[in-house]
Amino acid sequence: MSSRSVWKPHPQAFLSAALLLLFVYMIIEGWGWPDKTKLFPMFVAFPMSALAALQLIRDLTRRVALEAVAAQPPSTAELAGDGAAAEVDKKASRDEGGLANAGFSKIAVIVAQMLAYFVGIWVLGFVEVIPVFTTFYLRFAAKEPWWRAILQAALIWAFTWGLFVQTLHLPFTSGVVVDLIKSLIAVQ
Amino acid sequence: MDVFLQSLIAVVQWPTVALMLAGAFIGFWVGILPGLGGAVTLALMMPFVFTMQPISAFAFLLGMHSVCAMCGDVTSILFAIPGETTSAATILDGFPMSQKGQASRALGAVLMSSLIGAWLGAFALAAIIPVVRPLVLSFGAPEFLVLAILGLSFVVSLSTKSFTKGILMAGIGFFFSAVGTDPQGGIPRYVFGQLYLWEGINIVPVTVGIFAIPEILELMLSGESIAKTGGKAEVSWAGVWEGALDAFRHWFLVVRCSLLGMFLGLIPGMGGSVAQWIAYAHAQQTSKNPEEFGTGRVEGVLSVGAAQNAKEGGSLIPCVAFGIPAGAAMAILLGAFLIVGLTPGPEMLKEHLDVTFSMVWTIVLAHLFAVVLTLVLVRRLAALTFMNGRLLAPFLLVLVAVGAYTANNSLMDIVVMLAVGFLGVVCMRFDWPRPPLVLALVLGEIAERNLWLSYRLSGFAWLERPSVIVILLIAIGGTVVPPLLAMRSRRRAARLSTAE
Repeated sequence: MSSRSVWKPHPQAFLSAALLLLFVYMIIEGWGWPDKTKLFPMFVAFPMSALAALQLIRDLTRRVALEAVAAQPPSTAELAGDGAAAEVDKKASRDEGGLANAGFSKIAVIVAQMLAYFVGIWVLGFVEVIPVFTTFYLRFAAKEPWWRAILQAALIWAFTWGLFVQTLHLPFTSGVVVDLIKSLIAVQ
Repeated sequence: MDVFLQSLIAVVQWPTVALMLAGAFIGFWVGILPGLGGAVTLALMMPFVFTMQPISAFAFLLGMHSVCAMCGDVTSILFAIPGETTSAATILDGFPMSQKGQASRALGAVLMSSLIGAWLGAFALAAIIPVVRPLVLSFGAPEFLVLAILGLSFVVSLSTKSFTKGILMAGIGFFFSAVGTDPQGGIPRYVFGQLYLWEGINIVPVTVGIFAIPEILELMLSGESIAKTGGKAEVSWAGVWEGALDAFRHWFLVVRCSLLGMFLGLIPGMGGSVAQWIAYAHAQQTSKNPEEFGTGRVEGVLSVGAAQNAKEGGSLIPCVAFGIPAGAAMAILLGAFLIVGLTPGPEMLKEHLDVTFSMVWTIVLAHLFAVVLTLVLVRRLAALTFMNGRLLAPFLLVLVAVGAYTANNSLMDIVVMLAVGFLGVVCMRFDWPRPPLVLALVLGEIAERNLWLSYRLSGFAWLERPSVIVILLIAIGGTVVPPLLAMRSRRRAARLSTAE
């Protein structure tokens, strides 16, 4: 068996680098503080910076056995070039356990859907976004029929409104659009 | 003994029993819903006790509060969304069990271990009140500091695959705990010009972000049900029964973790957020298969369930006997004492011993009721794990958003949750352990405050205190022994493979 290996930095190196930057920032930012304020951050940041640097070096200098590289299936990113990324990613996520193996494009789409919900909270308001997001998500992302999407959206909205707004009186912030409309009405 | 039994009769009398059941029913739903904590609900329900007799008032409030922790485990197991911050560690093995189609078993295990833990904690409350005073009063800043160090030593156990990665994740937790106004000088640290960060980073959005967001993303990505068993709905009473029996098969672990939880509950400032991780790490350290923790080991579920419910009895001891609240919920409960005309302290062990013992019975009976209620609903709850993931996702997104938002009623909580959620996704993708971050966030603040206090009070002389030395030795043992054991088993495996 051959013992040849190739240099192949680990993709997690960017996480190690980010952590190194974070701990170095902790040191720089806290350097001028009084002793009692900086004692704990410095106590943490110095050894953590060293550990993060060690982890980064380990990730960047990783060597992988040639056989292991050859045995790896083509990545979804590599396959994305032939226009079949979505299908491949779908298969990868189903067959190999989702997040750990899914392609970047597929993750990006799902993250965008999730972010749309949270941005919707900011724009429309906590309770108002629920029927809008749920209906569109279930209809277009989950490919459910309209009636089911609308019914489920109504149920989730009723649950949230009934419990959190009417019963518990949680002080949800209103969306910027609602605030804008209110201010326009007030001006008129 | 007479007073003990009379207080049982007082609790089961009308209308006290109805108030206790009503409290436990509210606590059940509060526990299940992320973001609604037991402490918040105690505060919300406080006005209702003004007209009640002391025993009825505590039956209502304690009945509600004491079952929250147990019910918080339900969503941790089913959806990886902790119903309470004290239920986060249940996710580690409970959620993988759900993914294997063993949600019923995990729920059965957590219910039974919680019940045993709660009962042990409650009866310990009754038994040790007369002798606990010297122990509680002997704890000062140095002991709190070394207890925090002991908790942190469990990062080693929680970093099953890579010690370095685990420590680095704990480093992020320490960074989060350092954000906000410095507890000594009041100087803002790492606040990036944001007023929101002056208060520090709340544990709720961090816990929800690091555990729930990656799982929901995974669910939306795969479009499959949480239970990855090819559509076979294995929701059965047999599974629940199997889980309940697991608590008896591992009875010694359940008892140990209950005692651990009770002891940590007893110490003001430690609380359930710490107890769950220490119990989990203890179960892992003492297991014959520590490497399998995090993949759906029932011991992981049992240990957390027992510890976090036993802590309820423990945390009542300093509150009732000395008027020292062990946490936010107990501080609110102290207010209830004043409302019903009682003064916490030695009086509660003499003139009002019946009220103190009624608290024991309330914990015992409220947990029993909550277990029965969960059992009634368990099949429907566990069936949710077999639903199409894309149908569940919008509802789960609402729950995590509300859960994070209620920490400070600020949209910034959601921003923090998303940022930590992104980190959680990256960690999941590259297999970095997530629990050390939460543990370090919880313990970082305790460690910093008590490090400075210990130093100011006695220089380095605090290191010579016997209790400090004992706890430090346990911490060193907890740090050194697991890697040594792992190294020994690796060598043994290598030797065996060479021999073959």
